[in-house]
Amino acid sequence: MYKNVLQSIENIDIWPIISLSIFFFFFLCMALWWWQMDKEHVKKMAQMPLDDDDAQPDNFSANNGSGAKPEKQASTGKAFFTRGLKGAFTFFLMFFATPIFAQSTGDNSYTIFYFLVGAVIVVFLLVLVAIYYLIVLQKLLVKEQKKKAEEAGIEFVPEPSLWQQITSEATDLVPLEEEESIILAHEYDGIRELDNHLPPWWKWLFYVTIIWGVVYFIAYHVIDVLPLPAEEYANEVAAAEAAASVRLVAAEESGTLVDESTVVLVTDAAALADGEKIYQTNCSPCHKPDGGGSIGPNMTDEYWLHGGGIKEIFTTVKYGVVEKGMIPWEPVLTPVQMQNVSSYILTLQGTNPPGAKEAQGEIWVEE
Amino acid sequence: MQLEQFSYDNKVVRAFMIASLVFGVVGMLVGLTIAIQLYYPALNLGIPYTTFGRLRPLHTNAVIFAFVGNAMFGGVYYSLQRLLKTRMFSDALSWTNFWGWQLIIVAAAISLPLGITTSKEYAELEWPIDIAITLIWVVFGINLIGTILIRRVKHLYVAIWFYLATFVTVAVLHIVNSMEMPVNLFKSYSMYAGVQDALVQWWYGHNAVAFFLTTPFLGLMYYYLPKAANRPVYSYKLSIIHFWSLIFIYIWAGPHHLLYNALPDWAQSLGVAFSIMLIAPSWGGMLNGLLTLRGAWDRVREDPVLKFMVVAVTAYGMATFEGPMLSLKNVNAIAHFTDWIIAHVHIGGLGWNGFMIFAIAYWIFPKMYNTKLASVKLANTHFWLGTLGIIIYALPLYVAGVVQALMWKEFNQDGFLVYNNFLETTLQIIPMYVLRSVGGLLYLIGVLLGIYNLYQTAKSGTFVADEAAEAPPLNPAEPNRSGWHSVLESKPILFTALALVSILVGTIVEFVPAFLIKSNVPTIASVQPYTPLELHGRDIYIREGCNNCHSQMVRPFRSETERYGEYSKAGEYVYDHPFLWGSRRTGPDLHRIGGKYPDSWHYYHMLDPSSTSAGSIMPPYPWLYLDMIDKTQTPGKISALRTVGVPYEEGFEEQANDVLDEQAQQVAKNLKDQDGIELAPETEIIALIAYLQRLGTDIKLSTAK
Repeated sequence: MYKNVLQSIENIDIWPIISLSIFFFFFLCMALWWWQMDKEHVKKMAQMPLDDDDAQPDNFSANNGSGAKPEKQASTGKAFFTRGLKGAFTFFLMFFATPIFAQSTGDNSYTIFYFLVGAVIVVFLLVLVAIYYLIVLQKLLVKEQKKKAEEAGIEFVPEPSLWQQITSEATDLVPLEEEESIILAHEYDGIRELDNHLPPWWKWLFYVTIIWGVVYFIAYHVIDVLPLPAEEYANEVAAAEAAASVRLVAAEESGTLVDESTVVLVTDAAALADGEKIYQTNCSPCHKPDGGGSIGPNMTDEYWLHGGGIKEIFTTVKYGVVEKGMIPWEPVLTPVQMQNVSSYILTLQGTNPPGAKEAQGEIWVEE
Repeated sequence: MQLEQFSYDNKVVRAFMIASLVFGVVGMLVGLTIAIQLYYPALNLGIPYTTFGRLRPLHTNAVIFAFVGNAMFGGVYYSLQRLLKTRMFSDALSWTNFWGWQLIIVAAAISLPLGITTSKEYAELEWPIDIAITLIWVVFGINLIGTILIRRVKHLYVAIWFYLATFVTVAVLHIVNSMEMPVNLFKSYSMYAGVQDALVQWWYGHNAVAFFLTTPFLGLMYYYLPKAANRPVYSYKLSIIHFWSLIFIYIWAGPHHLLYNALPDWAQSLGVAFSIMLIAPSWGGMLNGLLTLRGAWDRVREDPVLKFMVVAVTAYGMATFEGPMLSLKNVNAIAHFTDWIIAHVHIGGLGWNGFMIFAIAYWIFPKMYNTKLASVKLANTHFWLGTLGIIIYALPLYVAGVVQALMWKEFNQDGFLVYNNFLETTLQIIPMYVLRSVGGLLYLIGVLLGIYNLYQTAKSGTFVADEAAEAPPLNPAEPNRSGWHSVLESKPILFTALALVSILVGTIVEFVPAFLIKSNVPTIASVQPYTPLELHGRDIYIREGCNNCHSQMVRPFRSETERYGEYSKAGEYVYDHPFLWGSRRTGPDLHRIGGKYPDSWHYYHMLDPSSTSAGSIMPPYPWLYLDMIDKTQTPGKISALRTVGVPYEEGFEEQANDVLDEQAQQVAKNLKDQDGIELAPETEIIALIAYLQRLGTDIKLSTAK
């Protein structure tokens, strides 16, 4: 329901473009800053001991603080990191080239659309890459810590990663190894049950949906801030009518308005071809493809029930003959289309198709 | 402690499982047939018994009651005995349950193609069969509760909570929704009309999903999954919370089938809100299932039973997330009446129910025949075929649903509908129908492989008809677990009563205002009862199953009012016994069809739909032009309808046929005048035309004044 309101605000599309530009600009700057960084400076930072009393050289920092050639493993890891990011960045830039593949439709909005899609994809991929490299770094760190601990003869207990912390908080499950401590008495044909807590994330999901339900009901039925179907419909109709009157004014001003008083017989090939297409799609089921009539009357002879001049035919097409079962076509065809199909119908005069319906009405005489 | 000797009844379990698989194939074959009819209409065969409209209810009833139903009974009977360490309460009742159920299925298979139908979805079977269903369900209930009362295990395991909830709720659903007034042995009219009938029907329909397709299978999952995986159930607490919240909340969700329909707004909102609240309780079942497999995941790689169960429980989780999403009004505005709903149904039906049934079958047959599964490889093949089948079934229908909905809704810049010819939207999605039938075929082939495998398994083993068992008698002093729920688990009658109360709360809150507060269905003065001829026509519409493809509910969207006319109001349906709002638009909505086309258009359309609608997939109905209506039925129809509240004058039965004749002769005259058509006034097509020409016209009468 908000969609209609938001869409109608003038130039609102500028805001998502602005926010995406900010994101893109930020990442671009960050990438450029990284690219032009002094790598030597970075290496020096990496060599700084992690602890104050860390007298032992550790394998993680390059050069081992001794100025010697960096260990293959660490430098390979870092080099790969930098090479990878450079390559990835170049690759992502390609997405901004996608608009050049857009066909020139003269419709600017699609170019902006592709740009937006490209930017979103780039941002998304950058985030994924960042997460991937963070995981790689994390794993390297843990590996180094483990090695350090083994050399020092201490048992290595890795700190739970952020992800592990989040999942254990959210699921609150007892690890498989400790299952025996929560297994409940009673077996049912050999089936046992564990006494795990309700998963917190599940509990919160439940609470949130309940609150959502209550708020939903209050919003729609107690304080009436959101429109119910009848009101939504009324709004939709009002918007359409407003648009229609705008179009009507435009048509009047440009002189393309056609109604039953201004309609003329058109004879150019393009209009008649359009008229024939409209006829075959809409009129042929009742009037037959050759106009001979079946459910509807024969339109190839000079006898007409509701008048056979262009104005009369247009009127019949536009308003239908509801009591006899011909629907009005005004809601389906534009005035120009009705002019075209009415003109096409007149070209069927005298064609005398086989099996045509018998004459109905009176001979039409043009006044 | 003296051990008591007894035996478990495997014979009736085997009978139910075989019946399930055999009828499953039948139901799926019918499903495949109707799927193909959508792109190859010649498969309707030009005879009344095999049209899409008559076969679709046969498919739904066969897969729900025969395939799923039989498996449910089989799975329940096997697990119940072992969880309670007792044989079933009564072998006689067990076999009455079995044979009674199969007779009901055969009755359905005969009556539905004959056009003997109420038109209400998953409740199409007419009143004599409804009575039979009630009796057999009571038989099942006595057997179920009787077995519980003679049990040797003091506390009821969670699976049994679900079986009890299933029993009481289905009983209530079936009885309330089947309230109908018979006209003759094969025909009845719903006691409810219009909006209220819709509410009752979809309270039933949604909760048939909940308490026939979900709760019994959650119960079965709680038994068969831990047994097959040999792992403890993840969380007892979770089973308690999700059980009670599920059975309580599910009942309220029915109105989500009627969003943007003429149902009162407050009822629609309740349906939306409670459907969202249902996510967590449903996922509780999924979690308890999947997390029970912790420590057994390595075996899932090899064991087909566990594979089927994993996909089944996952499909359950997916479908119970998709369902609430589809219950959001803005999503529903797109999905309702489209194939998206059918895709959703089949994720649950093929994925959750089907795969759970296969898992149970593959586990239970080797046990009952004291042997190993004949071919693990073949079972794994079945698994992959089935999974692929589900995907190829559902994905094309998602595309079809969204494409068709967007085509219905698209306006061009002149403010006109782009696809004002409905048929264009149906033809656009035909390729998706082809794909979907391929998916269904794959699934069916998998089932056939499974049946062969199980047959070979049986051949290689010896059937244990009565499995010897021994157990100490019930120990009333058996300690409860901590927590009050454990006390409740040892009191089955109280437990059942509380379950009953839980499901009645939602029922009462939604029904009482809808039935008692008049303003929920605002009266429209110009709306009148159907004439006798129109009644005959309406009954033909129901008989041919027209409501399976055509809806009668114009929603308050501009895309619908431009296409069909004024949107449908609650007060227009007050004399519709039963309502015919429909669930799917394979063809256009018909609620405002009255007076739109001349009688001769309908004459040609029903005789050969492609003559008025080129490329139409609708089957022709030539028998309507040869058969006559049975005028002796007219007085019965009138008095039956008066009994359920339609205000026909007293004594109208006497003149009804005269009124009918007059109207029929007028229609016959119209046909002659419009296109030289000569037809006896009693021909069935004339009655149908009269009915269609009446639809939606009453409100125009009031505005004309």
